[in-house]
Parts: sequence; C-alpha cells; structure tokens
Amino acid sequence: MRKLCQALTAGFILLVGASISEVAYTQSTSINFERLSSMEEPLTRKVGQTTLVMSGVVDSAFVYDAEDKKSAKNAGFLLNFQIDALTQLSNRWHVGLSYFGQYTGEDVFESKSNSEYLDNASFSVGSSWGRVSTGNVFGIVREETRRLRGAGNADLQFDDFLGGIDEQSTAYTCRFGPWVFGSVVDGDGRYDLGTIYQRPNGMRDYRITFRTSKGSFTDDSEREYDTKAAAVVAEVIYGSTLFDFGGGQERFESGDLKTERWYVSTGIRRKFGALNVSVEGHTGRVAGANEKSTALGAQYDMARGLSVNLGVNRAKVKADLEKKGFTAVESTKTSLSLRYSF
Amino acid sequence: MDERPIQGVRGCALNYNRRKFLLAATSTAASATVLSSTGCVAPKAAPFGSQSSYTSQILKPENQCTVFFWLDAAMQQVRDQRVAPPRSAYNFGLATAAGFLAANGIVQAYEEPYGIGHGPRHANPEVAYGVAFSIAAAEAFQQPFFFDRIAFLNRFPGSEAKSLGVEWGQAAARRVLDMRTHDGSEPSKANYYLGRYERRTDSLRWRPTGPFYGATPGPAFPTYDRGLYPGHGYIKPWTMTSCDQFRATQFYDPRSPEFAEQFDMLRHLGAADSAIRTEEESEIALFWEDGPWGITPSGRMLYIGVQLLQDLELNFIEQARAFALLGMTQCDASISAWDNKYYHDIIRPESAIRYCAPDFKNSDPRVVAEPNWRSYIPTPEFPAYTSGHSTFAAAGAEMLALIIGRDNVSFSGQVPDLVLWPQMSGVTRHWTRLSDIAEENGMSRLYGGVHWMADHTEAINAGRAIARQAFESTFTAKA
Repeated sequence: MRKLCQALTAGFILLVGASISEVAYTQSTSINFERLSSMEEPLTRKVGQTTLVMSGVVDSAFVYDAEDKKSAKNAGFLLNFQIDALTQLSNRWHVGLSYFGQYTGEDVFESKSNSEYLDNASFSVGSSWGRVSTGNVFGIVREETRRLRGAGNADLQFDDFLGGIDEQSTAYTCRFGPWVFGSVVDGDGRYDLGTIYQRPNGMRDYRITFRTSKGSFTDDSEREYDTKAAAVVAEVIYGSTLFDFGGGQERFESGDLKTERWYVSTGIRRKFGALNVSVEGHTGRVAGANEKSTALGAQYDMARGLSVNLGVNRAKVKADLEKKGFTAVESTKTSLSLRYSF
Repeated sequence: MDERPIQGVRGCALNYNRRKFLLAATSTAASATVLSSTGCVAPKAAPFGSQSSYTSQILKPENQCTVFFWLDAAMQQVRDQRVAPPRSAYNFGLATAAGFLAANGIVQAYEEPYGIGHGPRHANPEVAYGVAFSIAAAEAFQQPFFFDRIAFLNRFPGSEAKSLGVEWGQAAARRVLDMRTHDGSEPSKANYYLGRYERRTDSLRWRPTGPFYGATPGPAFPTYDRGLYPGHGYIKPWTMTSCDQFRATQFYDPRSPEFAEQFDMLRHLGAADSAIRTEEESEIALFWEDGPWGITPSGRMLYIGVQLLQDLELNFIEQARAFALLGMTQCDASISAWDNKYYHDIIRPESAIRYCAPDFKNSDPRVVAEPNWRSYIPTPEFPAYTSGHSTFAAAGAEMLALIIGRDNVSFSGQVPDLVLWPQMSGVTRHWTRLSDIAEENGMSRLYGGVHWMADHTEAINAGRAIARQAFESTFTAKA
C-alpha cells in the first residue's frame, strides 16, 4: 500500500510538475478522443415532450490521514448517478423529477452516510415566476450562496453553518433582474433564506450573497440546540482568477444554555489551461475556542469527464461547553483521486 | 442609550440592540445609495444612464424610447444570467417578435404570417409592445421582468388607451407563446444529441476542446465540455422555411490541397504566438469575441442596431418592426449555424493541429501535429462548420443595410463588455460599410485560431440570405 501511495504521489507530482513547467497550457499526450464518452449518448432519451437524462460520477480515491495513526491510508471508490425527467407543459410550466443514488465502497469521501447506498428524490415545477421544489432540496440555498468550492478535492471545513434543516424540505427560488432569491423550509418550520446579486461592472465580475438560517445542531455530547445564523459572501472575478471572501455568525441555544460562533473564510482560484488550482483559508471562534481550516486543491482535466484531483485539507477545532464536548475535529488529509463524470 | 434587545424571541439570532440596528440601517441605506447610483440595487434592469445599462453606452438621451427600453432590459438579462450565444438569439427573437406583433395588431401597418389578429383600435400600441415584449421575455429568460414592467407602465398616465394596451399586449403575448410552445427549444437546452444528428466517423469528427489559448487576461473556460446545444438547430425558425434551408456544402476533404492550405494558414495565423498576425488582427480577434457570456454575438448586432437606427427617424411601429426583423433573423441565424455545426460535425483547428493531423492522411508536409499549439482566443465547445459569429454578423449587417437602405454607413464602436477582455478598454474601431463589420467579425475567428476559412465564407452567405429573405417576405407593408 505504501508503495502504491508513493507511486501515485510521484506520478501526480510528475504530472502536475510537467504541466506547470510548460505553463500547464499544453498537453503533449492527449487521451481526449471521446473513447471514454461513448456511454453518454445512450443515457439520454427524448420521449414525447419529455427529456430523460442520466448523469453521474465515478470517483476512486486514495486518502492519507496524517492525524489517524491506525488507518492512515485508505483507498475507496464512489459511484453516484442522477436521473432527471424534464418537460414543459402546454401552459409552459416546467416540470422536473429527479432521482439520485450513491454507492460508496469505502467511505474515504466522508459522505457521512450510514449505509453503502443512499438515495433521494425531488420534484419541481416552475414558471417565469420561480420554481417550487420538494423532496431532498435542503441544500438549494446553501449551494447558491456559498463561496465557490475549491478545485479538485479541496474541502474547506467549517465554511458553513453548523446548524441545519431537515433534508426533506420545500424550496422556492426566483430571479428578478440580477438578483436571485431562494428559500427552503422543512417540516419543523426551520428555514434557509438567501439572495444573490451578480453582475459585471467594468473589468470585473462581482457576486454578493446573503444567507440567513434557522436550524438545529446536535453537539458531540448529543445535546440539541436551536440555531440562528447569517452569512455573507463577496466574490470578484478578473480574467481567469476568482477571489472570494465570506463571513458568518451563528448563535446556539439549548434551554438557558447559549453560545456563539463567528467565522471568516477566503480563497483564490485560478485556471491555467486544463489545470484548476485553489487555496483557501478559514478562521473563527466557536464556544470560545478557535476553529481553523485550510484547503489546497487542484484538478487536472485529462479528457471529456476525466480528471485527476488533489486536495490537502487541514481542520482543527476543540470547543467545550459546560465541560461537555461541543465540537471537536482535528484532521490533515491528503486525497488523490481519479474521477470520471458523465 | 437603551441596550435592550429589540427582538426578544429567545434571545434573538444576532443579538441586535437599538444602536446596532440603527448602525446597520444607516450602513444599509448608504450601501443602497451607492449601489443605486450605479443602477445596481434594484431587482430589475439597470436604468438608462447607469454604468450597467448597454444603451447608456450608445444611445443619445433624447432618443430613449419604448423599443430601446426593452432591448436594454433583454440584453442586460442575457449578461446577468450568462445566457449562451445561441440561446440569447432565441430569446431576442421571441421577445422582439411578440412586442412588434402586439403593436402591429393595433396599428395594422404590416402584414404578418402568424395570425395574431387585430387589437382594439384605441389601445396604446407602445404599452401593448412593452407588455407583450416583457411577457415573452419572461418566458424566454424564466424571470418575470415584473419590476421592469412596473417601471415601464409608470411612464404612461392612466387612460383607457393604456388599459386596452395592457390587455391586448397580454393577449397577443399569449398567442405568440402558444405558437412557440413545443417549438423544439426546450429539449434543445440539454447538451445531448438525443439522436438528432449522426456523428461523423472519419478524422474530421468534432472532439471536445480545451481552454488552450494565449490571450491574457482572459476568462476561465471549462475543459473538454460537452458540445453546446446539439439540438438548437432543430428549433422551429421564424423566417426560414426550414432549419436546413441554408445548409452549407460539404467541408474540405481532409486529404485535399485546399485543406492543407487551410491547416497551414490557421496554424500560423491563429496561434497564440503567431508571427504573422498583425497587432490590428489581434485586436480584432478580441474585439468581436463577445463570449462565452456578456452581450453575446447576437446581442452585439442588436446593440449596433440601436446605435445606428436611433437617428433614422423611424416612427414607433417602423422601429418595432426593424428590431423584430433583427431579433428574429438573429434567432434564425443561430438555428442555421447550429444545424450546420451538428450536421457537418467538423473538428476545430485546436484539435486538428494539436492531435489529429496524422489522421487526415494528407500528403502535404505542412499537415503535421503540433501538440503544444494554442489558439489566440478560446476555442468554443461546439463544432466549427459553420461559424456562428459570421452567421450572426452577416445576418445583422445585411438586415441593417436593408433597413437603412444602403451599405455605406460610417460609424465607430467599442466593446460593450470589458469584463471578459479588459485589454479592450479604450479601443475604438471605425467602419465605413456595414458589410465590413460582418467580414471583420467573421475573420476575427480566424485571427483567433478557432475557425476555418470555409466556416466563415459559408456562414456569411447563409447569414446574408437569411436577412434578405426575411426582409423581402416578412412583415411587408400593407397596401
């Protein structure tokens, strides 16, 4: 296993090194001949006025965890797919039905699922006045308002509210001019609201988001809290470089017990030909303790849908409340994966 | 100072007190003032005079009018939603056609083939235009243009003519939308072939491209993306008799001397580090790029239309007709170009030069692979033959020449969006003939290394033919 790790790492360093040395713009050996994409077309169909599309990802990864002395090295794979049925009714409403399934071999991806296979579904109907979705749609506002994900396997931990809402929820999103508004509500009345403004001005493109949420959080000692939180993100794009900054505040309340959290995150991302790289950092305070994380990521596109991905992610927090554990994480992980998306 | 929380529900999320609340309110108001001065804060298109308005760049204040108000709103929405070029052409066509058909239903100045019918004689045609345009645009862009419509209608004092105009505009828009529902545009939003075109099996077959380009600073592009909208060429056209009415002849035989000539020319002229491309040609390559987002090539032709037609002394309905013809032919240009692209399925110079030269089996020694070759501008993620830019520009320039009545028009222009290519700041180009902008726009793609010459020449012919046919047969004056 160690030799495999060394070989993979060396191979990747050579690959990236070679790319950077000739400015990563060039690809002297191309395998971009669509052989890997031959399965795409049979996965889409038009049936009457309905378009059926199947998309998915196959990811095989090798992860090295510097903090976990017992099982430092792990290899695993993940397969997920989504089937969408989309149509336009004669009154011009758009109707969509989606099914998502994911099979995780070895959970090196930290998908946080308790089973090897998980699935979910959603249904949506929309018009020019917006789209209503129901099912597993709790992440709609978060995805739209978050800082852009890092490249490759970068995963900046803590860059989100700790509290959340139920996965089964109902969402409404709509657009007015350069603004997009979104809201998600679950069965317990917890919500996630957000707005995005994006428009270029002069030589730069700007994106500003605001998000507020009422959710719940279970700490490491299984105590439940009601949470309220708000966050902003500002993003600037110049050429192929994206710089963004985010900050948030979150309050936790469980009976008379209250505590707070705040954080700021920032990152820069740039594309050099087929190579996409990112550097991100995060710092904050939660229940009087520091939380810090960093993430380095790289993605090298080799062919249609095929990429090599690297992430070096570090996270550390140890917060207690009333001498009981509140949240504690310490990890330094390097993950290298080969990913095919179709 | 009273420090009690102003929201007492379970301690309040963010522990606001009155002082913090006032500070927050003050800073929010200040931010809103700053943003509104640039026209950015309202949930609608930026108004004329603001930095984000396209017509502010080219329109004399005294020439503001209903048609330009709505064109600006649509162009801004293309930019703000990052609508891809062929789709933006579809959206412009739908909205400009609906606006004109509603107004013409009242004025009855022109014949129209769609049977929209007669509106109330006393209805305000400008109100009807705005309402129909906004409803059709709302469907095209999937956003309601609600605040734009309120701002527009507030320009007109309350009257029966206004009320009738609103009612008729809504009715006419519904008829246009009924006509265009299931016109092939919905499944064409997906980047899948869905069996609509056969793929080539020979060496000319298109392959996904990468962002291997040299101009800096330039935007980030996806690598080896799926072909954009393979079904766009299946959308029902407005003025063409069929999607393939202006289909191009067969591409070069890859073993032919003509192909070898093209290969060699593109390899040298379009390379990032070309020694033969002049400074002006490099400038032209970026000047007309208009993508992958921003106003887009079809929006650029409408933008030039606003610039040129504002002084032509057209009355309202003539102006509405002119921009409907422009919008509809831009849509048809996109359908024709995309039909050609996926019917012929021709490789881009990038893939041909970097990887595929040996596959062509061309005996000319100049047809050799150059694995490190980069184009000057980014290669778009769809087949080469024929050029979208050339089709859009030829259709637009020809239509403008037909409306104005002559080709020899002298004017200057700048790049409407600086966010993609900041190096175009302050660059002004001058032309003396409308046909020059079509030629220059199309040739920019060769200077940039992303199109073959045949992509341009065939597209220019198709674009001109689309415009001529539409001008002669669509919306002719009533006797």
